[in-house]
Amino acid sequence: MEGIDMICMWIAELVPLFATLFSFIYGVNRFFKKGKPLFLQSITMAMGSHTLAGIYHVCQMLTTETELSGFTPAYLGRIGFFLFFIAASYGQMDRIVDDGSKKMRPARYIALIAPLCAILLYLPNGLLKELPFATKISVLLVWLPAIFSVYYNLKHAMIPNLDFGFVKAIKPYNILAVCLGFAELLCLTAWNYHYNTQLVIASVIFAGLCVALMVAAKKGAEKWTI
Amino acid sequence: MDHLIYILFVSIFVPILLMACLVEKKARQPIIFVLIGIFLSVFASEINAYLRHVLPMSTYELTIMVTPISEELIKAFPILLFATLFMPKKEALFTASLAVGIGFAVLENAFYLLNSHTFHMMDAVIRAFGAGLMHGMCTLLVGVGISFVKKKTKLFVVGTFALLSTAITYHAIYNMLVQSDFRIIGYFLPISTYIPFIVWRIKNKKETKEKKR
Repeated sequence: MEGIDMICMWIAELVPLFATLFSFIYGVNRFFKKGKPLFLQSITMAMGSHTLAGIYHVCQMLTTETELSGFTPAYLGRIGFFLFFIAASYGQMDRIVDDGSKKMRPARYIALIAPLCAILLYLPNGLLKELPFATKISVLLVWLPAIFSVYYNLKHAMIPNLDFGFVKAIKPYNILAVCLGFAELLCLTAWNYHYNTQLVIASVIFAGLCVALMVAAKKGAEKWTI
Repeated sequence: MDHLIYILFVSIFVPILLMACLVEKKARQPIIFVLIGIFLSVFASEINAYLRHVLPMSTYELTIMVTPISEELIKAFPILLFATLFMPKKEALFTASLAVGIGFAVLENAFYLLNSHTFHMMDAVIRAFGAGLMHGMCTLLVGVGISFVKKKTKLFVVGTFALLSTAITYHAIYNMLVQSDFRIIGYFLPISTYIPFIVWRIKNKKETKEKKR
């Protein structure tokens, strides 16, 4: 691998790794206390899971010096990342935010745009001939929870503000979570295509979003009036 | 000759089992979970041997990509059953998960050390603080996580998978590092996660006590 490619790859690995590690430590210090909403702890764990995936990649790059292909446990770290986001949105927030009434229907339908975009984003990965079949399946396994995660986050970002003040308060977090999900999917796509510049840009955006998301979640939870 | 792991299993499992019958009820529960961990270690060794036979992989690839998955799933199983069937309190789940992990590590460590032809005290110390603690931490992560998510079904299913994914990744990192030139980092990985966890737990307990006052 050429020098510039190597530098790009290291930036793409280390910047998100430090951002997720910082977010995880921030979350553990602020959110793992009695009385704090569980969704804050879920997103902290999501950051922890992504940190481990990053550490795994870095270790593999350091120890084997070969390009990563096929299934690796780093994909599990990323699956965990999205699953924790689903646990926060679907498991925690959805039952409070969506009461199943007709008023919520438009938000439910419009939010389908996010999973559709995610599916479209998978196609270039699924159709890429150079990508081994095992990697395609591994990437698909990351995509599946991501599809649900972006759907619920977009739905909660669009849901009408009824009587609950926290729906409005938590919207910035949900918008950032949708962007974060897509940034991660773009990182994976750029990685598979060896588009180094795009990979670095997506990774830096992802890192910035991670930190912003934790702050937005904290601010949202502070205004939580229920 | 009988397989070494079964000899070790009988010699460690039976005395602890006999002790479990005599101790007080409060002390019995963690001991039972240690016993479950020891039993699961034998079970995992058989499963791993089968997977080694079936999958076309080198030992290195197998220990990084396959055994973390099989072992974490096996260790998590009794914790999941305990959490769903008995609805225990957070503290009970915490103790049970750590006990399963440590029980698992006890037999695995004994087996590895006796299988090695030249083992020293240093090897035992490294395995105790390395693999021993790593198994404990991985199961603890799943157990502590389940204690948070067990109240709601939606959360329980998604959260459990997420916790397992995280534990498997942690296990795989450890296995990869201890087989590389960076093995020292690998040996220190479990203790470097154990210490912050203990600090957080003590801090949390203090805060809860102060709030109660």
